Amino acid sequence: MDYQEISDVDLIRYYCEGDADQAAFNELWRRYEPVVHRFTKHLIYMCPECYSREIFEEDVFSETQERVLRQIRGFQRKVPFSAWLWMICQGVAIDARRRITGRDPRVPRAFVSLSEDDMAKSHAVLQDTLKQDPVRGVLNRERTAVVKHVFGDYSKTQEGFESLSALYLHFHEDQPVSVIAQWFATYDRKIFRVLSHDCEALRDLFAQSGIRSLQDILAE
Amino acid sequence: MATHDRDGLFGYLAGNLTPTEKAEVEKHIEACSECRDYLSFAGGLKAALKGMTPGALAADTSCPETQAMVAFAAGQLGEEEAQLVRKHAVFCKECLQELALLRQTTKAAGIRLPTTAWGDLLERLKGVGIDLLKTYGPGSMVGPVRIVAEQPVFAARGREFARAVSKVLEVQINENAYSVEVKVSRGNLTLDVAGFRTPLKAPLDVSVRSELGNELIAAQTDTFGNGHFNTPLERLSGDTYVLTLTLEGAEHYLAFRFAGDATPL
Repeated sequence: MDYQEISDVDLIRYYCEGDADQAAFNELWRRYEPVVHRFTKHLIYMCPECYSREIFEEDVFSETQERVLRQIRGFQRKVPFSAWLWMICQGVAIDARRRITGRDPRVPRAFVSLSEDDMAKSHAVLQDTLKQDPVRGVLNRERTAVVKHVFGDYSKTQEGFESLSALYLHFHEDQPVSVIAQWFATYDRKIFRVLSHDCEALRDLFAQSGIRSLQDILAE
Repeated sequence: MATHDRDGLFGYLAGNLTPTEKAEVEKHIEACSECRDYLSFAGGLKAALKGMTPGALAADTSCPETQAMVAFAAGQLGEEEAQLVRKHAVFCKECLQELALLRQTTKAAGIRLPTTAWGDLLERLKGVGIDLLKTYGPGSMVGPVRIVAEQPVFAARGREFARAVSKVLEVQINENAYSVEVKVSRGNLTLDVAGFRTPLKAPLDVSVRSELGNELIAAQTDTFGNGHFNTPLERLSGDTYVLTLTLEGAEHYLAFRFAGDATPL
């Protein structure tokens, strides 16, 4: 069989159906190898500064080949094959980044374990608060739950999610508007507008829940 | 400063204004309680988020798997799963940074992905799809959609006579009824949407997407549900299209295919 004459879709089918036709996969990979090389060049941008870009690129390329081989049976033609390849490459690059930076995504942030010193400090603060005003402590927990609920509702839509993330990055992380605009692949003015208008929308939402100021709640 | 200028107030809060602009804002807020209220809330929000203790608002879930993050950034995740990702990532700097990297690299590589979980939608449509110009005749009903007419159309348009193939659909939901005429004529796809018997004056969104997920038409009609949309057929890149009607908060899909006698006349 002359594999060079066969379409990509049929090559995938030959490989996935029945006995895995390795020659079909080899032909498919031969066609897409330069594409994956090009993709990995773009993904160097994800390489952490502390790591070699060349090694990162090589790692992503070789891992992509292995992952394609493992996952090609799951390719459902929902997107073009090249787009599917791009998504595989991106996943590999993110995994490599997480591995290099030592990020452990399996631990929920809310349950990150504190050092004994931190726990002792938190305990002392809690005891002080309860001594001064035990009801206040309970009330604040209730109000924090309301705040979480309002924010949770607000971020359900993509627009709300992006606005709230922008507010968080700007206020909590001190990221300038220009950097946030880069993160969201948009322009500064749009982020500025989103920030100013969403403050108003949030104010109205919190007012409906009986909360006029968040300052005391979140700092507890 | 313009009255209740939120951008100006936010700029004041962020310290982005020139001394003149700053003086203008201060003068305005002295006299305007509404803007003082806004500034007070925004200032409180800023202080609250800045002083927020770690974990105060973080989602009680672990960071999404990379596959889910990639699919989310590509708009390929179902709505329910997407909401879980959003709920987690909104206050997780690391996840936000990863999403930014995914978005930026996709843009830099010039990759264009369909913006919705288009494959899922097509799968769902297989069960309810209408091969509009061929299979279903007048009287057919699929869900709330009833086909009321099917006809070749001969109409005078300006100085010329246009020959076209069209199908008229009637969509009835609760108290409201709409008619949608889909017409292929002289290289154009035309949709005429008319609302009649619409006591609730519900707005109607109409969009047409090709199988590849490229949006062709998207518009919101007026509150009477009337609309007219026209697009050249050259822009239609696949052969299966989906018409989406959003009525009273619910989406209704119709799939249609141009084939045989439905090609441009």
